[in-house]
Amino acid sequence: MDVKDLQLLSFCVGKLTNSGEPKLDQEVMTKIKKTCRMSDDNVKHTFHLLWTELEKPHSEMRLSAFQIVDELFNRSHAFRELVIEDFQFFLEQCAGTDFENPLPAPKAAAMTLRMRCLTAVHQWNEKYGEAYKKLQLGYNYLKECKGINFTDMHSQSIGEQQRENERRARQENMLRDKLKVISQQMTDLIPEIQSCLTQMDSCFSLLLPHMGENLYGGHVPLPGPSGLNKDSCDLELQKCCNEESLELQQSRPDDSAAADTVPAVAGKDGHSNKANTDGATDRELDDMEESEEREDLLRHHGMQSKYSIDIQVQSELPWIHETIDNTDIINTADELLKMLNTKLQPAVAEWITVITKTGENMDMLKKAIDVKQAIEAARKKYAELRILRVKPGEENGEDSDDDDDGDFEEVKEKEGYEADIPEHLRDEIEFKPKEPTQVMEEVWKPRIHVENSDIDPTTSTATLHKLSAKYKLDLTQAGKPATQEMCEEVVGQHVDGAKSPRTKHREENLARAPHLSFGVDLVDWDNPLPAGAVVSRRHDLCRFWIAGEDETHVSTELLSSMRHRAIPFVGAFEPVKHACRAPLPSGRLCTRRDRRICPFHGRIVPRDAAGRPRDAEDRARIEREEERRLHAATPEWQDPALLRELEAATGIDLTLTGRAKGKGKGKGKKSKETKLTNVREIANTPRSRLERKVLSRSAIKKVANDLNSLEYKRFRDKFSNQYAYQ
Amino acid sequence: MIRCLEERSSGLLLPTGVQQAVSTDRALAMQLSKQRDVEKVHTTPINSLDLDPVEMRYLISGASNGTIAIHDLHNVTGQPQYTCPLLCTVDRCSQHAHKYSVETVQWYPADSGMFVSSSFDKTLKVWDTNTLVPVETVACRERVYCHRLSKIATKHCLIAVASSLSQVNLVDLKSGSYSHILKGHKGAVYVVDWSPQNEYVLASGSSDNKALMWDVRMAKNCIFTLDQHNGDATRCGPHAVQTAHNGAVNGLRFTADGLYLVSFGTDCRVRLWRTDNGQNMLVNYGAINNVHEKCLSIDVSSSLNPEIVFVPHDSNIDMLCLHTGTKLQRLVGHYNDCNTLVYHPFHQELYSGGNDRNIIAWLPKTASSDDYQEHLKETKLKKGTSRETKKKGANVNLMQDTWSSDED
Repeated sequence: MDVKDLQLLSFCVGKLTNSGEPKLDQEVMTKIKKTCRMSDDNVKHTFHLLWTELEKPHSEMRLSAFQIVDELFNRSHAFRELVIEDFQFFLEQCAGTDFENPLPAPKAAAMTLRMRCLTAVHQWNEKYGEAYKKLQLGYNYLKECKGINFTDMHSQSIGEQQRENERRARQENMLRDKLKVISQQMTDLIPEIQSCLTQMDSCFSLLLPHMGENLYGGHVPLPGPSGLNKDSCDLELQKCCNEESLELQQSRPDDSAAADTVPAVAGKDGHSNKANTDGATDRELDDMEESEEREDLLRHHGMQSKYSIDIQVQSELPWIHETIDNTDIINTADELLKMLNTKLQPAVAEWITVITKTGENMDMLKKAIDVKQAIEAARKKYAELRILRVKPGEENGEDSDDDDDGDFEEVKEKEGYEADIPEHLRDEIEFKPKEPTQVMEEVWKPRIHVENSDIDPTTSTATLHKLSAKYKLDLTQAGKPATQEMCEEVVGQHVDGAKSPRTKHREENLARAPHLSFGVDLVDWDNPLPAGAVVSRRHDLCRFWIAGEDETHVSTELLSSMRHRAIPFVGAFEPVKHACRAPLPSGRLCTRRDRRICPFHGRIVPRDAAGRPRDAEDRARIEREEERRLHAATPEWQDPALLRELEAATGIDLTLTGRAKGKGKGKGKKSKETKLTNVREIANTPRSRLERKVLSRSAIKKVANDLNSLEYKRFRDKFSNQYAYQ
Repeated sequence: MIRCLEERSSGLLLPTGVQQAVSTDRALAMQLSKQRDVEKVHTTPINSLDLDPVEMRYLISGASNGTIAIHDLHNVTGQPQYTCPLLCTVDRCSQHAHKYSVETVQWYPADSGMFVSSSFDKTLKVWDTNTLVPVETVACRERVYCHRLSKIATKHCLIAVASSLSQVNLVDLKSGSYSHILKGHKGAVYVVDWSPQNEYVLASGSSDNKALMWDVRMAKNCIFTLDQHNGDATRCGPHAVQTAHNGAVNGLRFTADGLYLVSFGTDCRVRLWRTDNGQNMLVNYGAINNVHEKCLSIDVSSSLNPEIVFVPHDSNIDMLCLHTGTKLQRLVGHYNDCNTLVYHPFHQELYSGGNDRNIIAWLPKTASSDDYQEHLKETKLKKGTSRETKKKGANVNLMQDTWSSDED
């Protein structure tokens, strides 16, 4: 065995496997074959080299190694013997037969590796199966135990199916658990939703009563049978009926005036009218009873059918004003809607998504969809209702039906709507089209301004203004006093009739002075003794054995704590305006914005466009540091000068790969040379990075410790006073 | 060999000596047989094998799905190339078959007309070979790992049953029910074996790391506990439990003369014990992987010099020298784990079954078998047409290197 041969072999094998090429470099391969031909020892050495390459967690490397194996297998008997002896390992590494150890990344290379391996095994078996019994057994093993179909290699092997099944089973289990939780939630929540919806419905019906109720409660006489039909009529139907313009075969000039008022009448009265028209619609549809109805009409209204009345029905629902009577109802409806929006609807939506994912439990899905539709209907109803809310702040002001319509959503609609409002109704809703800008201003004014406005007589500024008017003082120059105390001070000064320049000076100082809230330390500020002596009581409750200490002893610590106050000074945040700008190996500049020290490049100093420090002193310092670090990183024997000398003396290439050149550089260069896919980069996902952090041993330990201490604390709090009688 | 014959002719060597020398040679030349196959029948891992003790002709095998199959090993064709045919099988679809994995099958020692099987379905069945119907089914309380019939018993016919019940149950074939139990273990009993010399002596190995030696007439207590440290107080402390292994004991085998006991444990060690006083012989066999939580059969050759222990080592079988512990040979052929093996003492053959569902025959490689191969090829060459001749000619070279000329 020649050492040179072995070195050559390991070099060649390394070169081929690290190339990352899908095809072998024939020149290098020929070299290997030539060397292996010389002796079986070389073959054995190659075999071991290849086996270590097959263990590498990189499919491209394995693929190259496999190709070499295939070449040699077809040539050397010794190699065949060796391969077949460890055939199971070979199959595991190249065909992924062990379902716990699938082939490594990259996936494309893994697929080709598997395919080519199986094809090769098939060929080998046909050719050498007779002579090598174990190869035959291995082939049968693949076929029978691993379920590999050699006629159709693309089909999944049992191992892959098993992996796939396991993954699917895990997912299904998760979904099933979710479904269980959801069914529990459904049983819990559905009654709640139902009650919520019924409450909302009843709120609506209270706000905007149904036809039937109204008919009996209202004063408008209508034919009985048609009125009864309307019991089940809901808002939507009502709306679409309203959109029609109806022509009745009746006419009375007086009625047309009354009909004109219909659209604008607010509240309950409006509804009774609408009900009237609705009743009419039904009647029109019902041809059979027409004649009867005509008689009825005649009876009720005293009108003949020769009159025709044009009734214009407003398409939108009327406004609902918030009054003392209905404010509770509206509030309740609001709350219910909020609950629907925030809690119930998202829950239902989640149910539906989860149940659809499982693809089973159609009845559950149906139930969920029903609930969802009911919720949607309720929300739609609420949106259709146009409620004029009174702002809660204004309510106890001058009058409940003051200006300002509070609800922002309504404002726009109102603008589009105002043209239709008849003149005589304008005072009722208190809309002033002549000064819309003013209205808008008041609407949008934040409440904080109102608090200190001059207009409000209850605020301090108003008082000040009043006083200044009284004493003819120009306070505006001093700026608005910021705090209540200062106001009082000023007022006091004014009342005393003090001189204005001194006040001004004092005021300025006060404006500058920091504001301190009242605390214990201020109580005893000038007091040498504590206001009350702290009396310590004996805890041992023993009558006979008394310690000789003074009972009224007060610890100095306690006293000092009463005099002191910790004032944390935070200061205003100043954003960092400079970057580190140290040159990076990639050629760019460091963009970290640290205040003083960059964790990678040390103290931040002013640098020029190329990233060099401006100061000569800084430059020298950085160079010195660099040198020191380099020196520390490379051991003495790796000193480049020494290596060069040795190279010259021995003639052996001693160039150090990778690490000697510096961490980042070496790696980048290597990957460029070899074309090998960087597997780590594939695995470097945000999830994996987070996982590394969150599930690291130390983090888990820390969490466990915290939980343990919490547990212990809870235990101690609960049971520390109990004696364990064991 | 020539020297051996010379010594024999001059009367220096006993006739058995020659026999011993030849069979030892054969046993050491054992390899994966190219001529002997066993017909494939099992579709699941094979758990147990046994040779019928009368003729050593019928091989019975039990598999994980409850199938039991019997093969005929005798080659009466006159050709070395032989596939052992399947004689009969108890299919898993059969109404009598075991529901779960058959863990042990054993022939009745006196006759191949009866065999006993035990299974994870908590039953022990005594079968009539001719009708393949169980004549007796004994319900056990727990899963049965192993059972054994004494091969030399004349005064009793007890079956020792090892189950996860932490006791050894003795079933009397005469009554078909339990005669008594042997209490002493603290964990599941994985393996039992009867002494081939004393019909009342029984050894048992358990998951509590202990191996006990019993006399079944003395139900009160075991004879002794096998102690790996030989009672050395410095090694295990005065009050320590005496253990045979540092892991569960799942393989036990008496040597043919009954003087020694070989044990195999999940601490990956094989140990040799004297059966008269339970002394550990402290033979170092090296580490042999063993992670099975069930009975694992090992076998010891008889009338060889030196005696050989066959131990399954992952997918291989190690042949170890009984008294020195040196590894004589490794038999490579199985894929996945090898579960069971049985040694044929007459022909120096070995049969093994494993998770790859194969029963593999290991036969001695002899000059005659090589000659036969040559002969085969020659006859084929003669018979074949010119085209076929070319093809077969290529086959002759299969075992040779074929370097192409471009590598020069």
